Amino acid sequence: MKSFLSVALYRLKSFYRDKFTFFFSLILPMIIIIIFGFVFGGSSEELPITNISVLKSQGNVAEVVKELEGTNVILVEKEDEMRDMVLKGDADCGVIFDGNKFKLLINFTSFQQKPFLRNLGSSISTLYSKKEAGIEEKFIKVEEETIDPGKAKITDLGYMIPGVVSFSIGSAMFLMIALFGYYRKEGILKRFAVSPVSASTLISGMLVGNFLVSLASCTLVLLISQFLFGIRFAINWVLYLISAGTSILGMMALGILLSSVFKEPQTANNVANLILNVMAFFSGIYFPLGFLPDYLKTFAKFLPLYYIGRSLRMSVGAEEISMSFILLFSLVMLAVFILFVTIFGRGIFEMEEK
Amino acid sequence: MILKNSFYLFKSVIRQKDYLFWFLAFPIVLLVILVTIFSSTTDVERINLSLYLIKPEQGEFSNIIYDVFNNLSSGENKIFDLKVFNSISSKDNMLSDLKSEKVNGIVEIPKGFDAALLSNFAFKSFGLSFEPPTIKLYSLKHSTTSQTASLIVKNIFERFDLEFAKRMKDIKEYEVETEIVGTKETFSYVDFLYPGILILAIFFTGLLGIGSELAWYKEGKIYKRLHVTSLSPISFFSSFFLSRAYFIIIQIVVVSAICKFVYKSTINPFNPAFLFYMFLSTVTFCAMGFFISAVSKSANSAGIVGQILQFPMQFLGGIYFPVQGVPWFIKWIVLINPITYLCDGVRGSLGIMSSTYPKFLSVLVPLIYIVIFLYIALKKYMVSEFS
Repeated sequence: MKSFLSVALYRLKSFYRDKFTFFFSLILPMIIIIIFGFVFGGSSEELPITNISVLKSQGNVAEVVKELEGTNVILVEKEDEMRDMVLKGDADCGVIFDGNKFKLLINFTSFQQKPFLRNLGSSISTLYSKKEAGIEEKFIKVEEETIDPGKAKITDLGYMIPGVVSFSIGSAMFLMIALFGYYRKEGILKRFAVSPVSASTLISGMLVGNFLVSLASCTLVLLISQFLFGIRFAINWVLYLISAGTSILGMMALGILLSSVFKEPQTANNVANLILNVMAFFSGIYFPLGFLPDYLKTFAKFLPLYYIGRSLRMSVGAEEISMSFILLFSLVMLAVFILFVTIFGRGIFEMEEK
Repeated sequence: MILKNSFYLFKSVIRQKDYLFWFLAFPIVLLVILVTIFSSTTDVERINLSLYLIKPEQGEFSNIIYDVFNNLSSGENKIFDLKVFNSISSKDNMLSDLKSEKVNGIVEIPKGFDAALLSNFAFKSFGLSFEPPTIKLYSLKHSTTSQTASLIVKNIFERFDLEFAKRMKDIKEYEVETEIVGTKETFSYVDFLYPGILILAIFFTGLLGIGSELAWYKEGKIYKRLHVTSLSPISFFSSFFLSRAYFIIIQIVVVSAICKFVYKSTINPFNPAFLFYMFLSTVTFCAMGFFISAVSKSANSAGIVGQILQFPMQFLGGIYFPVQGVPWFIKWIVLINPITYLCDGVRGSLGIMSSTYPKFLSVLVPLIYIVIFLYIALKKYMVSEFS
């Protein structure tokens, strides 16, 4: 027991001394949250405002635009000024009416974030036509109710944060590659083989140490971002610990598998990095899956990060909780971990003993 | 001598699988991923939205609404997958489907809708006002697909409103023309991304490659050993940078071939402006890598510095999307970032997008960085390694 605790404690200390792993587990997710948070906005719970530039000389167009929900009118003197404003992103779009036709100028970034911004043109045109004919009121009113997917009322950024935390969990792969790849390459495992520490004590001590630092790191990322952006998650701590804990074990298992398949740790590291990057893009944690072709949506469902992201969202209240989903996923991750550690973990150690 | 050594250093670098992977294969993987994702998000035709319509009555107007949605749910270019419900008894289940994204939107026509709309017509024809009947629309927060469905549904009802209004008065309709400012008429994301990915590949080679490699030489005291050889520091560094220039040429050729032949980019890679900006990017990022190696104590430190710098620089340099309208505390990173000016300059020169910054800045800012980086790096190296 004493040697187990010593190994676990050693691993805890060495994690914070290993700059590379520390960076990937804690610093990188924070950088990503800060960049995505501030660039893509969404840190406010209010309706996103679309800034629309209108010529000062076209007051009647400005009146129409003001009536649209979630718009802010910016008046400008000339078309060139409007184009410049839209180009630089100071306005999401600009509207010009030449008496026969409306021209809607859209900023490229705004268009990428809201592809259906182009529909605004037809809304403005319809409303203008009605106003011109003296029909002010509507025949049919559409009342929209936006449903929160989970218990917590959070911003778009808040919804994205569990995804970034899952990226931090994904980096648990690197811890296992360091342990089973680099330690083996540098002969550290061999030295343990001649010491009184048994294989099971060493592996379990290392695994517990790695598990604890990973859990602490991803929880820290979650709490710091919650504090930094004032997001009110409704964290169910039991579910969170089950989801995050088993996800870490699953990703550690993947790291062990890669260390076993690729004899060169650097290759295993590269493959892990590639897998993590591909998963980050296609698991729906940064970009919505809704617009992707069907084959990519199917592909996403084969990626562990898709399930990690979803179970974390459920446990922080960003998505409706499905106990069966979380429990089934957690059981699968746990089973994979036990299986891989038993097969590959012992295998690597025995190989060193020989 | 310089040429011979440069070939030797080039050969040694292309034998490293890691190097080839990160600096050649990875930017290509990134290109493929981004084109796949972002081309899909701007291609409206591929979207198929699932919609529930609650229609408890068989009135004339309710049926017209149903017909319109039904028409939009059939044929090759259908927008919706429509499911119609005649009662609201299972509304909780429907909302649960919305939360789990089994459906992207729910449209509820209330009971008494037809009568209310008819009354509205009658009152309006006498010039009286009447509270219009309300259609309830449910959408899901944080779901782009659901928000898209909601926008389309709202547009459809705006159209209904206009058609009803036209029955009462003559209404002139106006055409709408849409332009994405700064882009060509035939804008393609591949054209936008192609120069950006090349700048990224060169950036990786300079920042992560050259920075760590030269720091590794320093850590291994290779420069000190050069003192006892006939190779001068100038010859060594010339050979080293020349070898990396060969590698960058390979990066440009491979990425260009993929963009031209696989993704049918319209950009001409032999355009002088394109070649000029590739050259300027090469010098800027090689100087940056040189600078990082000079100020880092070890290859590991240079690697960490490179990793910390690369994420903000690539995301806030406009490689994947233009970065404008961000808060001031992020804007300053955009403004001091050389990638911002290189991307803006090359895209502006090729006519992919109008330049956001004056043209001279696209050249001047990278040049200032080159001078500063080279000055500090040379000074540091002269003092610590070659004095």
